Amino acid sequence: MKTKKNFHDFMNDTKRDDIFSNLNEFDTFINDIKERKKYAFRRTLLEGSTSNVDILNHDGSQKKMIMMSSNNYLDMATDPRVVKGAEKALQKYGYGSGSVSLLAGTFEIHRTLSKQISNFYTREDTIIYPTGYSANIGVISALMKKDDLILMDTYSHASLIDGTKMTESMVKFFKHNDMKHLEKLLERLRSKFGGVLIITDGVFSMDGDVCNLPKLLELKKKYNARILIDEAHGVGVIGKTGRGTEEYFNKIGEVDIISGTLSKAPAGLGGYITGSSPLIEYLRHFANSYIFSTSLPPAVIGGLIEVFSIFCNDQSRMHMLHKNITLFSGKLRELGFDLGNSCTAIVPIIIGDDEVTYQMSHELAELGIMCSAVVFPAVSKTQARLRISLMATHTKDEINFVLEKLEILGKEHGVIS
Amino acid sequence: MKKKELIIHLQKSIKKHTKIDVDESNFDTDLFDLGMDSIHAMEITSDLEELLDIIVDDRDIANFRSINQILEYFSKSYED
Repeated sequence: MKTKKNFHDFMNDTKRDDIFSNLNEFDTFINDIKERKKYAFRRTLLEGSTSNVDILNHDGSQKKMIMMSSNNYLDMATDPRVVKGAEKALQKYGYGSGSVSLLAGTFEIHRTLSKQISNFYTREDTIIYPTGYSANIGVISALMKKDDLILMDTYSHASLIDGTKMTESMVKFFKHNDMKHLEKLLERLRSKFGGVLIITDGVFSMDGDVCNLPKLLELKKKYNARILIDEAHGVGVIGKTGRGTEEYFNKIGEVDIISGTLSKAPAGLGGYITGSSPLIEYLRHFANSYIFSTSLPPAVIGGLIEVFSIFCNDQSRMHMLHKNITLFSGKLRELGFDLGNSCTAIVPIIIGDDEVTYQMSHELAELGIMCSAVVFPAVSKTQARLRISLMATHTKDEINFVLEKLEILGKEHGVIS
Repeated sequence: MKKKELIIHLQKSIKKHTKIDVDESNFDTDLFDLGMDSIHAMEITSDLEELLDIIVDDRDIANFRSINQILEYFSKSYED
């Protein structure tokens, strides 16, 4: 039997007579990584998530680390205004909702947040799910039927791909942001199917680049398709007033289905789909991940109401984030690092070798910098990378410290000259 | 189409997209160990779709772990 060397080797084990047959081998594999001090997941935060956090490492050591791994882009998770909003809702409504939304789990604050998100995107209505993941699997599984076709960007988020697994539609991937390939697929296949849905991230979660929305909209009209954009990494952080990919390209109102999460820039929990009233009403009654899940706790909704109020009235945090992006990414490119087509707070530093990537991530952690190593099979073998997430509240000193250490380690490991 | 014919087309497609030469000695080797990734698998599948005039659900590509598994998948399209 082949010795398993990486996570990929544990996928697709089909010949077995016990569903637990893989577990002990995986346990040994993971413990070996931990013993060699190469396990970089699930470090313990000892305080609220912000730009600089007290972390408990796996070896028991405790260290203040510059947080370059979080999706809390605008540092809203511990913002006093948001915490106050959560506390107020907690006091009034208690700590849990106690029911699914369709039955006894819709509070007035759920309706308030739904309306805020609708107004934010200039849409008629919004459905709120317990997570962004469940929003994506819900909308795709509810809408798509057997004779339909789904065309999705290869770099689409896992939740979108998992949503397609719950349909009987045909699924084809188009090469990342490759509009020629998408059009070739539409030309060849459009007439053979009923409804067609084009799916893409707005801001891509591993590469930090943005979809080609103008061309996507052109193709959707030409071939009579619908389009779904996942705004998880775009809400609050791109576009002139943070309204995401549509606003970024000055195409407000043109996307058929917008999905998003309430857990990244909004720093809470949950997901949403926003669109026309008929779409949202349909999803409320046919999306299982909504129907059969308890609604979000009142405190989370109270915090999110504050967040969206801030998004609409005060974009200073977004501007701070944009300044940090310009400073950080600009300097890294000057130094010779490959950042792909990143133009957002997600900055992939492409190393190309799994071992070097792990090693650099480990050395950065020793220096007090927490960032993620992303290796095969999450990305292809030549695309291993450090994935850095910038925050609005990273100070200039923190950014410069990280740049300095990346330069040193990059030269030591031959990533830059 | 005969299986031998499909194998030749498959080998050509793999060479075109990956620059890798494959023969029967590595038909059971994991595709990733051969140096292929999911984009390569998609491009190769696209070539076979055009050749055989069929449509493949791209979710099935995730199950392609070896060249023999690709051939097994397309087995309805060839004779032995």
